[in-house]
Order: sequence, then structure tokens, then C-alpha cells
Amino acid sequence: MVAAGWPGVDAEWSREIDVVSTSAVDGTGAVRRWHLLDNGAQLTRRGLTPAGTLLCVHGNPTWSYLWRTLLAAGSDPARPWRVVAVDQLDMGFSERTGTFRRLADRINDLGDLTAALGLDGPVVTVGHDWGGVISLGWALAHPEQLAGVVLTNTAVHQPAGSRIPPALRLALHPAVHRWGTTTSDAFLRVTHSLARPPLPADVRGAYMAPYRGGAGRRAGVGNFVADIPAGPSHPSFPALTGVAEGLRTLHVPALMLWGPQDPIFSDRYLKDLLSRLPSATVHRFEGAGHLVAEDRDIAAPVFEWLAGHGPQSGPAGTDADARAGTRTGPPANPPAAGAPEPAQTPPLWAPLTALAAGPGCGDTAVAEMAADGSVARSLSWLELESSVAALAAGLQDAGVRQGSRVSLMVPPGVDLTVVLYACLRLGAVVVVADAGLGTRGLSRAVRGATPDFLIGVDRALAAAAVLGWPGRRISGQDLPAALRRLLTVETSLSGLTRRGRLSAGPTPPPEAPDPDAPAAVLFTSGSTGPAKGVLYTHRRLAAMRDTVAATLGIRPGARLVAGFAPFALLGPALGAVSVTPAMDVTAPRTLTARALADAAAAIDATVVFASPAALRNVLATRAGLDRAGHEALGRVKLLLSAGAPVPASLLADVQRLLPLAALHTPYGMTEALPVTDISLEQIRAAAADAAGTMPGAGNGVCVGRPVHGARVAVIPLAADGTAPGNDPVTAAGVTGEILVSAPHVKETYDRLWLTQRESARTAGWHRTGDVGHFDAAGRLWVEGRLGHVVTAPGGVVTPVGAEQAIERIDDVGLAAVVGVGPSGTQAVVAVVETVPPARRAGPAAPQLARRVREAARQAGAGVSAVLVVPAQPTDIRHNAKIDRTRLSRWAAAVLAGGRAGTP
Amino acid sequence: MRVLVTGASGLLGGEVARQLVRQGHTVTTFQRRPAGVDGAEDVTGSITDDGAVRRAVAGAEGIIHLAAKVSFTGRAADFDAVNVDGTRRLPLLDAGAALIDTTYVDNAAAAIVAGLHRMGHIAGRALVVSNGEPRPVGELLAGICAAAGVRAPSWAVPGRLARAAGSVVEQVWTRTGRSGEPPMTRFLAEQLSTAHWFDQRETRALLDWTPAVSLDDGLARLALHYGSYQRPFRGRGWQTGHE
Repeated sequence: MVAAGWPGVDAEWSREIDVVSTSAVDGTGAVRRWHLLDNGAQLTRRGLTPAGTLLCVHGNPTWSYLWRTLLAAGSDPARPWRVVAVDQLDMGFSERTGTFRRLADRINDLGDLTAALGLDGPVVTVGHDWGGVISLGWALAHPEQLAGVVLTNTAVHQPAGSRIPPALRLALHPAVHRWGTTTSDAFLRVTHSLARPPLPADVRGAYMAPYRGGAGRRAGVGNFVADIPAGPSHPSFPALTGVAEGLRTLHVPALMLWGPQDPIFSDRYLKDLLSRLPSATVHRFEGAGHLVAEDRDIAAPVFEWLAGHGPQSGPAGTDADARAGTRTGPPANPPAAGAPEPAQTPPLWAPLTALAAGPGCGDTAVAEMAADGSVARSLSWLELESSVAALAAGLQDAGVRQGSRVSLMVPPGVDLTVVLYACLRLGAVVVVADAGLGTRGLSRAVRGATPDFLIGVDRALAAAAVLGWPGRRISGQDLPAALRRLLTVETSLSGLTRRGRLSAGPTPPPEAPDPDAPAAVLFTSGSTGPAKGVLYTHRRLAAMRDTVAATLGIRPGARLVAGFAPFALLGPALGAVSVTPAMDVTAPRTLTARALADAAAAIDATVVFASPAALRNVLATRAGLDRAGHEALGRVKLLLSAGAPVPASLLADVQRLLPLAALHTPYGMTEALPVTDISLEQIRAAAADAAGTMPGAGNGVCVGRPVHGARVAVIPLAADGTAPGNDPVTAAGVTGEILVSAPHVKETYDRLWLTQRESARTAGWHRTGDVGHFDAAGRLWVEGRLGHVVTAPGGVVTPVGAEQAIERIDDVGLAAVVGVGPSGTQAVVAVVETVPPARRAGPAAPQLARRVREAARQAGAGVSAVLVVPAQPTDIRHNAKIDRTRLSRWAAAVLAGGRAGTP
Repeated sequence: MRVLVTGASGLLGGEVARQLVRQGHTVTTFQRRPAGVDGAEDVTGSITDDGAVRRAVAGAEGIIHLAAKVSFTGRAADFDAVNVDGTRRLPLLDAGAALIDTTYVDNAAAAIVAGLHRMGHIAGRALVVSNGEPRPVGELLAGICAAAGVRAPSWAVPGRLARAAGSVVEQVWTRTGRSGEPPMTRFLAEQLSTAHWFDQRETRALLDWTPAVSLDDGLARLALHYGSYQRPFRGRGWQTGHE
């Protein structure tokens, strides 16, 4: 019966063993026959000594087949591990006992089996679904052997007051249960169909094989469903609670690999597991579902983790892992040499408290402008401090604790500033994701971050209700009672503040949180793959404040117009007065010159931050400025713009409007804000050098020199378009992946252990995924993203230099250079917008193609084909970054023949 | 070296033979029509004739075999007519965007000659040789037409339609026993509407050869070549006008 055509399974692994059962449900002396997949004999035959044993337990309704990739990986002579994957009784090819085995029996059964196998040496348990609980039960009962636990899509606890997932409720319904799980194979089929991409027919056949042949083969499937402890009165509830509570005492390394698109085991259960095993290593595979072992390769991560955390690894594991997803341990990015002693960095809000206690405490601290040009709201330093303290007390009263995750969906302004600082004071982790991710991206980001609280305006709360986001709802404004009930809102910010003031009195302020505790999760833009959560600690946020202050000279006394959310929040941290102009901050193009001038006049601003899109609109509406407005703008000493490429021509136009301002465009990313800084003068000097003979000048966008406290270097590119090796260099003209090391670089990616490892694989540095080079004057030039590099047969081509050359041609607008074909021998393709725009996408006319080719040739790129599009596809958040992956796919399709279509 | 070149009356065969002669080899050419390659001994005969083949091969240390029945080979003069006329009458298929490789004839010949000297590296292998500069087919046709001084193809036909039409035309040609090139074949339609370009890295490493004439240079030379002719094409008169 065994091993007949199971793809991916070596016949040698399949074995049977008779085990004496000590479980309560069996009589004394009962002997049960188990089937296992075990590579032990194969290792012995090959003369390999395993480092330990992986004890793999499947769930319902799969069998040991689930773990075949682990068995194969364990047989690798380079790092042999014994892998024992069991078929639980009544499941797989093990005996059909005719009994109803409950959770306690199952845990005991597993212990009987390992005793019969004579399993010795270190054991790491691996579990999925029911197998997660059962393997953990075994783990708690065998502490002397246990070396670690691996969990995939499973749960140990149903939070009180919430119901089990609808799909399970359906399966448990009396009318459905017997038929759905046992009489028919519906439950099996539905589970198999959860795989994405869909399972190949032969794999599906293998999963189904042990359960064919009538309802008698499927009794175990039905019984497992019936044994789900839906409530405290269920017979297996005590056993489950025993495991759940016992987990808190487990102190072995833990790895969690999760497929979040699981209708049953959603992120809520991952969060619960993390609360019990807080130092676990976590990786969520965005896009993977319940059968995560099928949807993704879990063998490589498991064995990488074993190498770093398993029985023979060093005491604390590799330092690249030490911080991933944990709250203790040394930082993944040690501070750069010369940075201030970490222990003495004052918390982010220190300037705020200082100013509130000082002589200027009545001065304006934060303000919001109304559309008519007047100040809509403002708070002085003292008022800001007391609002923050009161709201913090109110939030604490409502249950916000150190480590609570709070998702903030309030537009920038006074409210957002107050709630952000209140959360930081409490040591809560603020989660910030914006609508620029698109609805689906935002929803995935919010769910993945598993907030405990969701503070938002009515629009955000409505989305939360519709999309089922987790977290207790708190509204930004007071809402009418009916709406509150509809959106299940508990209270509002003003309600909490009132509560906080009442409950105050001389309550001591909460203790300053541990500087290395998580403070914030910010999301990347998701323009290349799903948005990633970037975790910052208090220390790193404070370092960000310090580097902005030192590099740009923004100190207490500065007055800042912030048309950009992160800057609005740094204001109080810098001790600077900040004002939000009248605009829709989610749509930067809505900032008019009038609104900007009004905001500047209201606080006599010295600093302005605005994105390039906002600046364009300001320039377009400058006719609406009166003399007072011009004067107000004329007093601005510093203008900052970032978030998208800022052309020097735009800055030159802005200079005319703000004649006394130094214009700076910092370069950075969500993971490192900022990395370098450059001013308009320096941009012009760099352009002059590029036209001259300075080595390395040109071929990209010059972004200047590293900010205060940061070091920047590159790892040279290889011919295959990757940046292998671990020796960063700063020699002029060498193109490579840009690396940054600074105290304000991210702590880690949130619950993305594998991604974090990749980005931190050169110790002490963060790999940015951008490509560039230095010139002889030490300035950094950015040539594009690593993923967008074209590997042509003559060598690697980075897009930016060629694109800039092509864009200088008359009647060409935005240009993108992409690669088509297999890596290493790609054809370089230029996709251009014409001015005026073409009506249809397709190949360029030969004249245009010739000019584009010539321009690219002078920039060092040999272009095979030139295509024209009416408009380049861009990302949602900035509406400026060209979606090159899409473009590349479209170009490949067009150049393969057939109709052109649109990208 | 004593080298036999078959099919030397063709465009490629002739160029190969000439390059071999320039390199100082003793060259014999063998095909049905006289090859007219200076410095080579010409033997006429058919490759289907065993005796003739044996005599031609005798004493040869290397053989380059180009006498195959492939479309678009033939007398050089025939090629001109077919090349220009045929190209001029071709439609663009779909958007004319299919990315295809071509090879300038001097480069092709040089690669073949290089192969002769690198037998040890390439014995038993099949290699594809191209200029390594893939271009959209519409652009190539336009370039060839421009070099010849005629208007580029300006009418477009869906590729699917052309392939179907090609099959039909082939049938007609076969059934009616016509000789000469059919205006459209299925093969041609496929070649014009689907991408075909090749990874040259291994080829160049094995042959220790890189193309000497770039595509742009090749088209320029083609223009010079046609410029030296001044003869009308099929009664339509000399057409200038590069588009």
C-alpha cells in the first residue's frame, strides 16, 4: 500500500511501526499501527549523522505527505537532520482505530510513538493546523529533549468573546458536519483547493489517497472537526488551555512561518501565539494561505533557522537574526562609529517636555490652518504637553499598554500629533499605513500588523468595518450615537482626553519606555511587491530626530510648515513649531500657493516641507498670492522636498518664489530616513562636474553626501545583476547596491524574518535595494533599483543614466529602460512617452527609434527596441515612480509579436 | 588548408569562399551553377550525384556545406530582386514589433570560417550565429527598404491572418506546380510575426569570434551597394525617399 506514486516522496522513507498505546481512550495493552515518513534509515545507510530530529505533525485533513520537502532537505549531506513525519492515528495510512480520540489522547499518542521509536538526541517539533497544538503538547511534556518548536498556521487559543471562524462554524453545524467531513470528501476537497497556486493533479491525488475508500477512512477527519474546542464547556478545552498556558513557560527557540490568506488561521492567531512566545522568529508569506508548506518553500527557511538557532549553533544565534521580530537582544544595526553613546539619547519627546516647562510655554506649538486662511486650531507647548498627558492617561485607562499596537488613521494635524505622542509615552507601538497603498494593500498591511486598537476618522472606521480589520475602534472625532454603534466605536479621542484629565491628579507619568522597545511600524510604499512593515524602536526614532536636526539645522525655535505627515510629527520632537496647511494631505496636489503662504504667515515660518507634486501645484497657483503672501514666503530660510524625484528645474522655479530659502532634497526610504542630503547649489555643481571630466560624475541622479551620523557604501554589481559579496566600497565610479549604516536605520522588518535577513546580510549595514555609485568628490549618484537592472550580454545596464539621456531628446517625455528576455542575455528596451502623447502603444517610428538609440548609446546602453506609450504606468502612492515590472512584462509581450495592447 | 565549399554560388557561400581565399586557403567550390569566386577552383555538379561529390571531397581537409534548399538563397542578382522587391511588397504583421535577430552576411561568413578553425571546440554542436542586435521586425524591414531607396512596408495585416494565408498560398503553389518563391508562406508569416533572437554568449566564446560589422554599419553598406546600381525595379522607376 505504501509509497505508490506519491510525487516528492522517496519510497525509502515510508515505514510502519507498532506502538503500545497508553491513551485513556484505548484499553490497556492496546497496540496501534502507525505509518510514518522517516528518513532515519536512509541517513544511516548513507553514513550521515543527523544533528537532531524534526518531529513533524500534520493537521486536519492532511497527512505526513505535507512535510515531504523537509524530509528531502534533511537528507542533504551538508547538514543532515533526521525528519520523522507521523501519520496520526485514524489519519493518513495509520490504523483506523474506531475510537474518538480527543486532544489529550492525541498528545499522549505522540508520546507513545516517540517512546516506541526510541527517539533520542535534540528534537525540534514542527506542526501545522491541529498538529501545531499536538506537537506543542508533546514539547511541553518532553522538555529535556526539546530543542525548538516550529509552527505554521495553527492556534492554541480562541480569544474570549470572539467566535470561531465562519468556515469552521459551518463545518460544525449538525446538518453539515457528518456529511461534509466524513460521509463525503467535501472537507478534504475544500482544504486542498485552498492552495495558491492550485495543487497539481498528482499532488492532490497524493493528499487524497489515504482517505479514499468510504466514510470509514474519514472518521478521523470528522472527529478532528468535532474536537475543536469552540467554547469553555467543550471537553477538550482544558487540554487546549493547558497547552496555551504552558507555552508561556517555554524557553526554547521558536520559528513561526505563516500564510496570512488563511480563512481559518488568520493573523489573529499568529498574534496570540506571539503573545505567548514573544521572542519567536516570524515570517509571514504575504499571498500564501492555509497550506503554507505547499504555497511556499518552507524547507529552506526552516533549515536556515536551524543553522542559526538549532542545537549546534552558537549561544545567541547569528547577530543578523538576533533582533528579527524580537524585543530583546542587541540591535541588528550597531550604531555608526562616532554616534553619541546610545544609552544617553533622550526620548523623542524630550524637547516637547522641556519647552512646556520653560518660559516660552505659552507659545504656539502646533497649529492647523482652515481653508479661509485663518488658524483653525492651535495648541501652545503647555497645552500640547497636557493634552498628550491626558490622552495618554485616557488611553491607558482604556487598556492601551506597553507593547499594544495602535493603528493611526487620522489625517495629519493637531489630533494626530497628540495621539502619536501619547502612544509613544505609553510605550505602545503606533502602526502607520496610508491610503497610498491602495485598498487591498492597506487592508493587508493593517491586518498583518494586528493592531489592538484602531484610531481613525469616520472614513477609516467605515473601511475597517467593511474589511474586517482587527482592533478596538476609537474615533478621531466625536460621532453620533447611531454611527458609533454601526462602526462599533467604543469612544473618541476627546472622550479619552476628558477621561484622562478627570482620572488625573498627581498620577506619576508612566515610566519612560525601554529605548530598545518597538515604538512604531511604518509601511513601505509597496510599489515593488507587497508593502512591508518597518519597525522602529524609541532609540532609532530619537536618532532620526537627531540626524534631521544636525544635518538640516532644524532646532528648537524653528518654525515649520509641514505638508507631509512624517514631518508634521517630527516638529515637536525637534522643538520646532509646526503648522499643517489647508490641504488634503493624502493628495499633495491640493496644496495651493495661497494656503502655503497663509500657513507660513501664521507662524512666521522658517522651514517648509512639501513633496514635489505639492510644489508643482504651488507653482501653478502662484498667481493667487498677494503681497503679504509673497513676503511670508520670502522669509522662509529652508525648503525640503522628497518622496519622489525632484528635478532641478522644479527647484529653480521654487527658488524664484522663495528667494531666501536654501532648497534641499534629502534621499531616503522608509527603512532609512534620510540617507543623504543635497541642495540646489550642490545639484548644479554636480551637473557641471558630470558634463566635465570628474571620475564617477554623471550616469544617475546625484543625491549628495551622507547625513550626520550615517555611513554609505556600495557592494559592486556582478554580471548577473546581483550584488554578491560582503565588502562595501566607496571608490569612485564603481556601481553597486547602496548600503547604509546609521543609528536611525530601521530596527527590523515586522514579522518578515527572511526579508530582514536578506537586508541585513552584510553585518552592520542595511541593504537598500537601490543601485548607485560615488564620484571622486564623495557624492552618491543613484542609478535605479536593483530589481530593475538589465542584464544585457555586454554587461549590466542600470536604467537611470540612459533614461536621463533619452528624456533630453525633444518631444520625449518620461522614459523607462527595461530588460526583456532571460537574465544574462536581456535585450535593452526603451519605453518612452512622446510629446504630444501617442494615441496607441506600440513600436516607435524608425526616426524616433534612431534618435533614442543614439542618445542611449552615448549614455553607454545599447538599446534593441524602442516602444511608445501614451502614458507610463505609475505607482499609486507617489504617482511618480514608474511601475517597471509591469512595463517589462508588457514590453516582453509586445516584442514577442501579436497585438500591442496597453501596459 | 584545403577547403571545399558547397553552395558557393549563393550569397553566403560566395562570401565564405572569398574570405577563405583571402586567408590563403586552397578553396574548391561545388554546386550546380558556376560560383565565380576568384582564386577558387570551381567544380559544377549536383550534391545528389554520388560520384561528383566523391570527386569534389577528395583531398579536402575541411568542408563547409551550404548547398541546401532554403528559401531566399540563389544567384546574387536574383537575391537583389527578391530582397528588395519581396521586402517592399511585404505587409507588416500585427504591430511589426516582434523582436528578431539578423546577421550581416560578412559576419555570418566570418563566423563560419572561424568555426572551421575551432573544430575542436565545436565538434558535434549546433550553434546559432547572429549579429546579437535584435530589432523589431518592422524596423528592420524599414531599414532594408530605406537602404534600397524604396518605401517601407506600410500596410499591416494581423499575423494570424497572414499565417493562414501563407498555408493557402503554399497549397496553391504546390498544386499548380509553380516554381519560384511564393509571395507568402506559413513559415515566412511565422518568421515575421513571432520573436526569435538568440543568446550569443556561448557561440562567441566557442568560436572565439565577435561580429565585425554592426547592424547599423551593415545597413549603411547595403545603402552604398544599392546606390551603386542605378537600375529601375520592375518598371516602377528608381524611387528615392527614405522614410
